[in-house]
Amino acid sequence: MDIFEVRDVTTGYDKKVVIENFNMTIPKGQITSIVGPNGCGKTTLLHTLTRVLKIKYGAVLMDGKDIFAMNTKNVAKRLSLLPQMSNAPDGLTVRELIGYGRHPHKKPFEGLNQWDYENIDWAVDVTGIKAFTDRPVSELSGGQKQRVWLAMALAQNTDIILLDEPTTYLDMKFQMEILNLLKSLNETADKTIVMVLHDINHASRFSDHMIALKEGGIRKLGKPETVMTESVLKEVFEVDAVISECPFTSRPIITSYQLKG
Amino acid sequence: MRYIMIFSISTIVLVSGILLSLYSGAADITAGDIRAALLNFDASDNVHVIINEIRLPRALAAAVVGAAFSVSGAVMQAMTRNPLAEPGLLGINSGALFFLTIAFSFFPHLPYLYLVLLSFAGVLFSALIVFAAVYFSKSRMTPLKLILAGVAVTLFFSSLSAALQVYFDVGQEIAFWSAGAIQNIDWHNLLIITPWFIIGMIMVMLISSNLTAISLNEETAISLGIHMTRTRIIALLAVVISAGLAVSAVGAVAFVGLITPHITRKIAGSDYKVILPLSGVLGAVLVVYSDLAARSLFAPVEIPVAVLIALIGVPFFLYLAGRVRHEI
Repeated sequence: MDIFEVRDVTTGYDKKVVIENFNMTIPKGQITSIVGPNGCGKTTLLHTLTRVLKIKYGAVLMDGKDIFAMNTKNVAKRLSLLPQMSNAPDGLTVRELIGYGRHPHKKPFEGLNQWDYENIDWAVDVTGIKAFTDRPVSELSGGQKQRVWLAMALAQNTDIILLDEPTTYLDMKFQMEILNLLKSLNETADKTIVMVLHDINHASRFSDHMIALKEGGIRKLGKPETVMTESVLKEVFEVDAVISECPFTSRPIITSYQLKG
Repeated sequence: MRYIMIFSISTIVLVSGILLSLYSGAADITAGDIRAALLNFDASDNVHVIINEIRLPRALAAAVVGAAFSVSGAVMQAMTRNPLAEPGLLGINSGALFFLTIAFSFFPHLPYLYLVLLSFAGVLFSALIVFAAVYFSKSRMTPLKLILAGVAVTLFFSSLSAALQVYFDVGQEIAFWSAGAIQNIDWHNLLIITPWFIIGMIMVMLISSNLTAISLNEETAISLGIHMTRTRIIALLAVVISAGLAVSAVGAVAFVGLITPHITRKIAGSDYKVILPLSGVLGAVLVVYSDLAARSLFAPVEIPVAVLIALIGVPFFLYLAGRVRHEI
């Protein structure tokens, strides 16, 4: 069962076409990672799925319905996005920012209710940011900010979560914590997770489904075992990689690599 | 609770400013006169006429245009995520000036109300050109494009105005008109302007929570289900109507749209449901007291209120520009 279907999509920024006649599906209830070199269209693809970027041709379907034709607030009840790092206005506190995640569930001028607070508290809890919920976001470190924005996306309480490089700015421990959190959300709450990941070992360890992009096109997709092969990595990333098995998860991981010979 | 207190205090300061404006001026007026003029108006009493027909509409006009500039500035800053944005960036000041110049060059001796309406036509004309330039540019609408189009239109109309003013030798008249426009406001004009101002305020209040989300960042706003195009159109229309009428009525009073929203955000945080009304009250306070100072400091000579505010505004702008961390 697919939750997203991208059908013959062409899009890009201004006159620059980034992806052309693109076709892809994203499975429901699974973790999908999009990997590829810089500038391959990963973020563009994620922005297309979240209707942040309008498409020139084609259609993006969510559960069979055109996402650009749907009421945008109804889309927001199903789908949240963690964008790449962004600044918050001066003085905005962590708790206030996370509260905005409840916006799609509110009528104009409706205040937060018990159910909203439960969602906010839960998001604060699972992202481990309880210690600084009353501080201004602008005063936090990069890693703390990243977790706060993630908490905001989680407070939106959607069944689909899209993340643009969620582990950036985080140290090794928090990278694992965030990825474990996403995995448990997927397993226990049946959330569909789609993320752009820079670290393909992380992608391999935590995804059910991988999509390798290059120059705006899919070069390989499928289970990590299908994508994490020497020939695919050589084609997509232009490196010679040594692949072995992760001792913790038995998934394929790169132990080292060099530039393509 | 804290906000209610801030609102109450600023409103008291505003009302005191308006009362002070009634009190101070060339004619000697006592508190008793003011009470009598407001409660039992006597048209044959000269003092009552001065209070009711000259000073009160002027003070109220200062409050209305101050609020209009300030709220419009706050809206522009939310939409562009740039603390230096203000309504003048839409080219509306130069459009108003251009139409005024045409009026003074070709149709001298028009009554005040006609000049106001002509200025407003100039506001609409310039804003329309800016929006059309952005709309037909084929690529994505970005705040930066809007600002660039506004700068281009401003330069174009300012140059045309300057040329006309030299050719028809009306520069001094226009300067004189702009400097003294706030004195010319009477009840009739005020009653024409105020309902539109209120409509503009209702429009921005309706989209206030959208503006808060947009002020975070665009991707987040869209993923929170904000209708970007609809919000922008409503916001820009409201700015053009309220700031445009304010410019038409009293001339360009720069920096109000810059100073008070910034102070408001310092006091009230980042929720535009609170920022918009509070920056309206504080903008009114700023212009009412500036107008009061402008006519009392060197009495009987009046300095233009725009000049006085610029004296505060320029250093403030430089201070803000030094602090901006975000890109446009």
